[in-house]
Amino acid sequence: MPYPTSLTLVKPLARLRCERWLPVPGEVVAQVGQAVTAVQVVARAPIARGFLILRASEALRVPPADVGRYLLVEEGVAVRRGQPLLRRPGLLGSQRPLASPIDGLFHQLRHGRLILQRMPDTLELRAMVQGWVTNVTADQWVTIETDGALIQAVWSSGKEGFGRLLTPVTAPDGVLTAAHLGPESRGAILVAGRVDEMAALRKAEESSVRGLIVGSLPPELFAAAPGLAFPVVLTEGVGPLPMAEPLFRVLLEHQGEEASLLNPPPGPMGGRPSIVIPRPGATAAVLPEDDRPQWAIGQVARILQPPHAGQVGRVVQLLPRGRMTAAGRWPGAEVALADGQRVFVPYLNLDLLPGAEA
Amino acid sequence: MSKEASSRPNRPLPSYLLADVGHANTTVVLLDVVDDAYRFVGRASHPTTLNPPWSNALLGLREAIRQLAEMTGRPLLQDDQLLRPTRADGAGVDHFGLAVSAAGPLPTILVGLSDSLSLTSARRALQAIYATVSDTFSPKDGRTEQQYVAAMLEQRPGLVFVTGGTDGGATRPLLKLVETVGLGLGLLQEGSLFSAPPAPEVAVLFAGNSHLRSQVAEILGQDGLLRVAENVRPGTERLSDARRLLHRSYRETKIETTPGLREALAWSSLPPMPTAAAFATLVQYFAVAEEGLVLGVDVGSETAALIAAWPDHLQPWVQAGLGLGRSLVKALDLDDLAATLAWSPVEMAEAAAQAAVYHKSLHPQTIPMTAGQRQLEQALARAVIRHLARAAAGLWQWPAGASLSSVRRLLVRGGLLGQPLAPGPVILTLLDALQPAGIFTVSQDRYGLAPALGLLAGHDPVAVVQTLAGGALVELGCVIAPLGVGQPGEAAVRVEVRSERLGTVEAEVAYGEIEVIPLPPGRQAEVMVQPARLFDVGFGAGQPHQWTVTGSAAGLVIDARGRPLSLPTDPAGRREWVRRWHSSVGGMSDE
Repeated sequence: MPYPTSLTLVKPLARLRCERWLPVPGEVVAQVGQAVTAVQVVARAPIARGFLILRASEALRVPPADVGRYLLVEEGVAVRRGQPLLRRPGLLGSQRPLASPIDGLFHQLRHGRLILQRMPDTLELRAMVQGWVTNVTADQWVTIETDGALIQAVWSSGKEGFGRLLTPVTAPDGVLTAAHLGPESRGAILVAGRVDEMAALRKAEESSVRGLIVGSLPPELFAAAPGLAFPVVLTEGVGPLPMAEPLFRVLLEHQGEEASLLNPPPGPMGGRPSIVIPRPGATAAVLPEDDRPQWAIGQVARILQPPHAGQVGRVVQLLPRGRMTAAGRWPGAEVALADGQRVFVPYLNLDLLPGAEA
Repeated sequence: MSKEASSRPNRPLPSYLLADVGHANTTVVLLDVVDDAYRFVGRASHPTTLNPPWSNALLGLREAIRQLAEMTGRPLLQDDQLLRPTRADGAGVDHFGLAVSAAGPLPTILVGLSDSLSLTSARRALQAIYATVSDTFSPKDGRTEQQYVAAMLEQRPGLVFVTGGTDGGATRPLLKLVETVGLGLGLLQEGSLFSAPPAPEVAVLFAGNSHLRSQVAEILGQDGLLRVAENVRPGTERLSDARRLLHRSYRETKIETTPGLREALAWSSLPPMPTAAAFATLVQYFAVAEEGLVLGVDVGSETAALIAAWPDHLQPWVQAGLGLGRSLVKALDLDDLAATLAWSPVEMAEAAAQAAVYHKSLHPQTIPMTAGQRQLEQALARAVIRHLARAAAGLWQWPAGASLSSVRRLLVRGGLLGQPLAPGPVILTLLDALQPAGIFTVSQDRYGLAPALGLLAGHDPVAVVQTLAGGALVELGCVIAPLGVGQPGEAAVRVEVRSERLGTVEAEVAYGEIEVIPLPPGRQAEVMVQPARLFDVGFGAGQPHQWTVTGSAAGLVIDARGRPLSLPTDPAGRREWVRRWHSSVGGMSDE
């Protein structure tokens, strides 16, 4: 059986593992076993603010290999603006000094150049999700586990956030408008089927929302989303698509609870942005998971492209030899939709929702 | 005698299992001897499993091999390992080879002295692999050492490709740049100056003034994986040695590090190749066989390539990060969207088209399921190919904007254009995008064999010849496209087709029109073409030509729209013409 090309996890309750990481090595302050809240700092790192190269061998008129002889400071130490970094005795007792033009660190001597680093800022990495620390690497990664609900999204605007869920619409195709936003939106993560107008996003910004989860955005709002003050997460894609019903259902069930919007870790194993809703006190059974599910009859799947984009159904027949489509013959499955229709969809256009209810 | 040798049957000719791991799909093909000649025995395809949650290309590759084994009834895997060599019972295969486009581009910084000489040669050599040039360092760009180093730290190249200087020419400006590169490489590998982890080892290729080799090695030897190639511009251009080492760097830094491919390479008895390079090898094979210009077009999910091959040289343009998958959004920037949509016979609002493109980029593996979506992708494919042609013309100094008037064959593959669609729309997309003129055939790599055959060409050319003779490609049509400009409605060309089975068919095609004369695959016919006084089919203005043509999926396509091709400016008239052209080639049947 073929592997699905797209798979979205929608879990009402499970033991979830969230990876937090520093972009550069730093110091992990959380300890294994420690309970953390979303706002808690779990690691810190110095973030460089730039550097400066001083061509010392040219300034001193000595070969690059000789520069080290005249150094007055050691690598890795802080230097002040105007502080002499090296000095070469000249003729008749004269001296040729080279002073630091900045406050910073003397990083190293390389190829006859002095490399100075501007004084770094400190980056604080927050847990972003309530849970407990299960693993740390000495200087970069923290693993936090929590019991709760998980929904994988298809896209995130890049920012992360947490806040209580607020769903001002009543159905998965509900459109969020500026009129839905009021004082109760402050600090909330809004949930809706879609947003059609920039005015609604501006009002959300003015209302200090902490995030937005929607099925889809039109192209112009999709392009504008990374510039907004709050994170935006899409569960379906771009265009007038409602949120898939099983996803909306989970979000609605957790109305008023705190949720976290998390980005995937960097690297090829990264994965997708996710929505995590911790449920303190609820204990999730840790069940062995099939980490390589393949297409099978009875699975629930979401259709990714028109004419049935966004609809969710159950696989009723596998057709490995496929059927002819507008793009040629492709293997796929027959899917029974909620309205009773049975439609053929190429595997490539299906998104497996393991464990979800149609 | 070893167990392996004893189990090998007494067969002089080996069998081949060849895989192409693309961004969207992994295709495997089996070639073996049938009735004393190599034949394409079977193929299977499975979506590539490089993205999460799979993150391992080997899963999809194995699944494709498993499907192929099922289809052919020939066991190919045992305990998830490839059975090799072929066993006495016929199970297994003798050789395995791998072409890869899924490994992604190698981010590259070019360093050189002259934009029109060494840097141009570097860009041309770089077309051998999938690379993205993130920056170009040249003394004339006026940047300081600090700015160069900052650029390196920010861009984190996988390759620094240094060229410049004629052998024995001036040395100081290039050495100064090399010193800067050395400084940047050292800091990059420490990773501490910028907010990024240390970079993996950066490959460095030096293909400049050969008199500087020892000094360059002294400066860079410790800070990167330095390789030294022959100067690309010792006087006249020489690219082959640099290309060879670029292949090696790409293999080591990209192919071998792609999850799952190292294991697949352990099965391999042929050197792996970037898919575009394998495709280019096959395109050149045709150029030699047909003693003329052959164009290869490959528009994949995340890469696109236009290969121009003559019998004695190759001019590829390979573009990573442009295709009909995740990178489809970039096609929106290639041309004004209204201009792109103007080539579609189906009316589509720009906002709807934009939404469809963005959505597809989030679900890059998906395929169009409606005629409107398919027409949109075809229009975008046309824009991508047009862009490739312009870019290639700029790099290789083709006559920009003019028609390609001496093409013998167009070979197309990848994405939508490689699918078993009606032949007319595929031919029309190529004609609209490239505007080739003359008389030529259009072939489609429908089964995904072209990279496989390209892989094999250097190892077993006889197997390639025999497999092609066995019908590995689908002949879509023979095109007659006269060069010239005329008045709408006036005859541009007259064609007479004579065949025993079909009798005689005559057609007079007016300027601006396309007409198709069906000629079933395998049937032969005598064709006589008489262009009007101001039109040229490759033998001089108004000069006739007669030849024997073999039938194909579409037959004989007469494109009398002239060259250069232009669309009416008024939207209604334009749409009418575009619909008419699509209708002529059978591209509106499902609208």
